[in-house]
Amino acid sequence: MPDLKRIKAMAQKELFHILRDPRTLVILFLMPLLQLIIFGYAMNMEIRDVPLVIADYSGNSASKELIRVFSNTRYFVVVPQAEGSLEPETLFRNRSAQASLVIPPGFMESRFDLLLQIDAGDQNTAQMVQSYATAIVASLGAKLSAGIDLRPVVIFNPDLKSSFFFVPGLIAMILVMICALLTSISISREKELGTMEQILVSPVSATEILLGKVLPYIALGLMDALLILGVGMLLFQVPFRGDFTVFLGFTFLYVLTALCIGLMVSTIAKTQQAAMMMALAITLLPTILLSGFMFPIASMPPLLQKITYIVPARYYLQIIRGIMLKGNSIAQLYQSGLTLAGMSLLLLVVAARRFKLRLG
Amino acid sequence: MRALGVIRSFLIKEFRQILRSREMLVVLFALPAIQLLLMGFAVTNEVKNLSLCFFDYDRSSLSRALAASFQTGGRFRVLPAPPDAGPEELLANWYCKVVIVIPRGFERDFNTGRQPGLQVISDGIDGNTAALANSYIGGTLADFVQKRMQSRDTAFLKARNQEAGKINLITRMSFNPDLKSSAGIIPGIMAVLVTVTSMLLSAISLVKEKELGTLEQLLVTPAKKQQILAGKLIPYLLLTLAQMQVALLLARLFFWIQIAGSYTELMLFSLVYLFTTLGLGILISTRVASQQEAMFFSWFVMVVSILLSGFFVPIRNMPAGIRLIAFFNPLSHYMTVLREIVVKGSSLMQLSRELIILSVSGLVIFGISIASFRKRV
Repeated sequence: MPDLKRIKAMAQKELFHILRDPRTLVILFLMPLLQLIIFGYAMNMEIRDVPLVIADYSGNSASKELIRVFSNTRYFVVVPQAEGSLEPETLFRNRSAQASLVIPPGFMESRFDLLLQIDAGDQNTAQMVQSYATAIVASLGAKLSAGIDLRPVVIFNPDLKSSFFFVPGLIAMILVMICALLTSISISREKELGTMEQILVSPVSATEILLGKVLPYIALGLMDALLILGVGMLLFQVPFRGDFTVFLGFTFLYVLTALCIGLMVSTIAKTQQAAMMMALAITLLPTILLSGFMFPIASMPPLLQKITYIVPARYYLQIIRGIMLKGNSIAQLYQSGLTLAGMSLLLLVVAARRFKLRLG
Repeated sequence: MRALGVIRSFLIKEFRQILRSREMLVVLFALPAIQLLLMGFAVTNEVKNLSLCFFDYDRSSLSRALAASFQTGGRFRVLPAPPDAGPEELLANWYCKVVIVIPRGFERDFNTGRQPGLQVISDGIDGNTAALANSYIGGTLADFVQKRMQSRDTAFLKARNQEAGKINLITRMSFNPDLKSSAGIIPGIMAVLVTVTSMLLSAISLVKEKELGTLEQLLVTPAKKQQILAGKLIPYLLLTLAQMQVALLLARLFFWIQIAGSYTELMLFSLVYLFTTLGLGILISTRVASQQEAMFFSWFVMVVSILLSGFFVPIRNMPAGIRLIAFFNPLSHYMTVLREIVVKGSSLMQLSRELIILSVSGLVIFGISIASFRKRV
């Protein structure tokens, strides 16, 4: 039977370890906040002010109207073609333009073709430039009548704010970072420095050591996560539409999963450095790259898409985005919820079997 | 001459130390290779296979043709709409990301020129995907309308005074005609790798000597401080350049990316840039006490500089204040250089602005770091 007093003593000791290194602590709290601010303000995919060079060989009213329409959008800035007849590709290499439009002589009288050349070094911007230009030209055609009136409605995040997307993602990231990375480092440090031996010869049981070790990190992780949530809600008006208790329940499952991974790493790694590298490679990188944290899973190659099924953050992200932004209930999330629950159970069993507080 | 001899023996010591541990070689070559491959495939802000549902209340040949026009190109994955759920419910249940509602009388209105409305409802949680998706939908629709107009007989167009519908927009994509997203991502990852390797490893190697107390032993030898530093930095400079060759080879083998511009210029720029990153490595090492701290600190610097480098999102899209911060981020300029040379084949002349900026930053940061090393160590 684990003794509460001993667990408390262990936890206190661990807390002193954490507090003794204030710089790491500051980074742990500052980094996600700074990321939140950068993601919230700077990560904006919507293009604007793309420098466009227009070569107008027509000079008639139709071409002037076309140029007017292009320069009136916020997507393009029409730049004057100062250096005479430079090739578009040279302009692109000089980075004085990112797109070039050629209007042929006799536009709308005898000629109806326009040539748009785009710098595709940045493939994404290039595609957006193409769709905007197509839409602008089509709107010119549709103005007189008979096009289609497109009425886009965006729900759950009508202003397309990136903070809505990143607050849940950063919570998932920080929980993995603290619960898996720091726990594994802290255990392997005791092994490396030989202090684990001292603890083991004390009357404290293995379960008590384990609980005392992980509790401070759980508290730290949850504090950090709630801080991000709070700042996200206050600074960026990120909504919380679902049920908070459901959110806490799933977060507990996720934390459990992360802790088990951390424990497993600490059973394999012998030094702090190795623990750090391994924890990075099997927790943090997949959480950032393969969970849908930032990059849409549907856009990845099929093999990578299959790998994402074993990344716990994939499920947790869907769950907390669902709860926070869509107001999902358990009924709508039971698939991801069950998967996450199954994963944490499995990992708990494996970690409990593997984790033996023995030396050598 | 004697000075060179001292540096030489330092180099031998450092290389022995690096090559002795297999872990180090893994960190230097295997991890970056995995990173390049994993990120090269996973990091994409392209929108592909976006799940899309049509609610077709018109059931005409036009509405079917419209739905079919979304099926080509791999951008959208059209799913059948389940009979018992409304559009918003489908989005709330994570069934699809976009719903397009085609109203009754769509074809009739289109043919009589009454501009039928088409409602597109999208899940805005991932704002970037939603914005891209909306622009693709707009483009696909514009294309669809245009094709319909062009196939119409001229009498129909004349009757509606619709010459404008005949405009034919021909698009050409320069430098990357297949629009591979890896073309921009891979050089970006290389820039990141060069930064991580040179900054992190030089910082850690110096801190390790500090932590173990061997730096003191080095300092009591007749070797001068700058010789010790040179002996520490040159190996990491060479290893970073070697790592870059491996990365270039992998990029060529796995992503079919070849350097469009000059290889010599690429290496010249990298050499100039390394003064900045090695300088930052020294600077970090003089200010932290343990390897763990060095790791966390370099990591912090890395995350911020990668986010503000234009790697994921073009800097032009960012607000003015952040653009200013990004200007003072050396990685953003090095990233521009790598992309320009590798993808577009830009020349040294066209990159003179970056060359000046990187040289200045290298001189300043390296200078400060040496001064700080002399004072603090």
